[in-house]
Amino acid sequence: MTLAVTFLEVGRRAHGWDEQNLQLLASARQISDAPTGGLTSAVKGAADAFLTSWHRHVTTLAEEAESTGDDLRGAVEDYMLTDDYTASASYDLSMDEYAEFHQNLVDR
Amino acid sequence: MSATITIPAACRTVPELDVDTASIGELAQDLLVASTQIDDVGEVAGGSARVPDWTGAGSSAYHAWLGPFGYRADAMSLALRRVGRRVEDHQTEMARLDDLRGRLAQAVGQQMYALDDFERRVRVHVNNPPGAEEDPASYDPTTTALQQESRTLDQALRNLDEQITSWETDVDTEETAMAAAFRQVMTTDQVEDRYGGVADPADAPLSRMPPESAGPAAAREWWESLTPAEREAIMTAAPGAIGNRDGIPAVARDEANRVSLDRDLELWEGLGDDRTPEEDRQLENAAAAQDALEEYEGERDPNGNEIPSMLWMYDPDAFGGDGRVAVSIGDPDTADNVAVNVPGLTTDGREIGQYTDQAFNLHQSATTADPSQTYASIAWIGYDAPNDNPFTGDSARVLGEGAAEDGGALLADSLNGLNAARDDDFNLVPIGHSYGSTTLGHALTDHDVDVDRAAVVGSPGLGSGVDGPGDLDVPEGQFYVGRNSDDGVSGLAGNGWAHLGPLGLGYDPSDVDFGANRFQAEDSSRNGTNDFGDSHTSYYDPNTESLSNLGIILSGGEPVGAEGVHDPFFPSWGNLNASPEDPEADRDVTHPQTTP
Repeated sequence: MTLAVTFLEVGRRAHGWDEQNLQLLASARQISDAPTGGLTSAVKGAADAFLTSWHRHVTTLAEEAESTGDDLRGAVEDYMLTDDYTASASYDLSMDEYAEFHQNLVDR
Repeated sequence: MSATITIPAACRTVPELDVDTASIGELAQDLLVASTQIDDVGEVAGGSARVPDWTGAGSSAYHAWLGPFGYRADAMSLALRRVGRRVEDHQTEMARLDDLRGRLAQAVGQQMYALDDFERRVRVHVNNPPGAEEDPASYDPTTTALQQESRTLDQALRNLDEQITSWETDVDTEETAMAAAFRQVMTTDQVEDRYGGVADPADAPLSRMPPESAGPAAAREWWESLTPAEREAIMTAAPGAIGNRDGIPAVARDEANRVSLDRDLELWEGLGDDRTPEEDRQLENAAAAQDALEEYEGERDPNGNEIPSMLWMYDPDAFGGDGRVAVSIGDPDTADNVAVNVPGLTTDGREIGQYTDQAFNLHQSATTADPSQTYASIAWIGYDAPNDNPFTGDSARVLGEGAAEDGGALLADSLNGLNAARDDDFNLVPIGHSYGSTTLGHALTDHDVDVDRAAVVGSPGLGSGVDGPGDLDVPEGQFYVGRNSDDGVSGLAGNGWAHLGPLGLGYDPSDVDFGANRFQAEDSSRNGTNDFGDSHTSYYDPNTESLSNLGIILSGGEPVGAEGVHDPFFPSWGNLNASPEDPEADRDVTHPQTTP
């Protein structure tokens, strides 16, 4: 596998972590919105504290996923700045792959 | 001489229990759905997120992060799943305790009434003592009886006290255990201490899951080999693995698909304006499925039994975004009679609501026909049905058999899956409407299926080469066809008013020469002209001949018969001006009742 194709994969992983970020944020929201009103008062306090903590835990996971996506994109951008990129990308990638690769970066 | 009659002490009242078990169920579901997503992240981190050929400092840092991140996500997923399951158990236990509380309160009321009555009778007795001249040993049977009654009543009241105390202990024990389950995994350190590195109980059974090609019987055998804990783990960790898998019990498919549905709704609704057009479409499919399920939640049959609505199939992204979804009214694994309703034109996942309405109407109609039996009626949007008007954008696809051929294979899989999920004898009755009948025709000719009866309504033909019921894999005499005399779509068969011949979708099954059992299916809106509107879409409308007869067919009875269409054009290819003659066109339309 050439370096350009490898970085295409890195770009895809960056996109993947963006999606994980969104899905984890949805989970965090679902946890914080979960109803505890049906529990008896003896349980409700513990449940509310649990949901508050877990909203924070899952949000932290989501932020890590997003940060990782950013880091991977940074690595790809660094690679793109090298002279080697243009030569190898145009040589090794099909036009479709190249377009997708580039569009992913533009979208970000 | 005096005698003592003791008035027993009153028993305790039963404490209030302020609990909403349905809401607790929602809490459990939310936690389980969230755990599913976290499990997915852990799985990605442990596998597909790696870039093996990437080297250098960035790669080292990235791959060094993946391991601990995945480890933490896996532990969190397991912890959250365990708490979610514990909340489910809590729901069950609190429902039991709430029910018990009601019965205790009723018993307390009865005993307190008895006590009041006893006290009153003792007062009357004391105020009206027996005559002094009578022998105390024999004159006072009433006193003796009241003394005995006092002891019996006291025993009952003290017994109730004990039951109330025991109930309170059970409530307290359950509440303490539930609260502890929340507190035990409150922090990430607690989570990692308890669940870090613990194997997911879903992993081992999933690794033994047979491939799709092994067929539905193998899937069922695998499922039955699992422990309850393994099944629960799979339904949460990998709902997509079993939600649409033929051979898996409907109850498990439904639970898994609802986890997927909830997760999708949470994600896509949360994205708001950031949704892509594809996500908009998927959200529409998911929301339609949710609405369809909610619409029929809590429905009961005439015997008072709840009719479950089940998400039997769910894939909102299938077929380029059209979606693949099936909702069952009734449990197809236990019902005496199971209908699979196959729709035709203009069908995609967004329309599961209207097709679930039709499935429900059929369920009602069959129950009306024979309330002693049970039914399941599935709205099956399981193939890539032509989703445009046949005379505008998508006509080429409609008029060809390609989609029906592909759909027939998928339908055959579902029919075989329904059979494979059960050992007992039940009646499986697929019903095709419009192009869905062509799809059904392909399932019954291209594939080996085992159905008990089959019916079509508004059919443009069952596929080229199907010239009679004998070409179909249906028991002799068990193939039925309904057609409104105004229905223009029937003319898209080889014979019929459109005169399409070999360009059509096969022989008109309502034609007398086809040899099917035609049943009455006239619609009151008919006006003697070919119609692609109401005349073609009203077969499942309440109180119509068609729905009544479909219900009778599903219940195993014989529908009200009708004479077949005569087409002088076909098969001699003679007079292009000749139109089919339908004896049904002049008959008075009836309105049989289709609701119990």
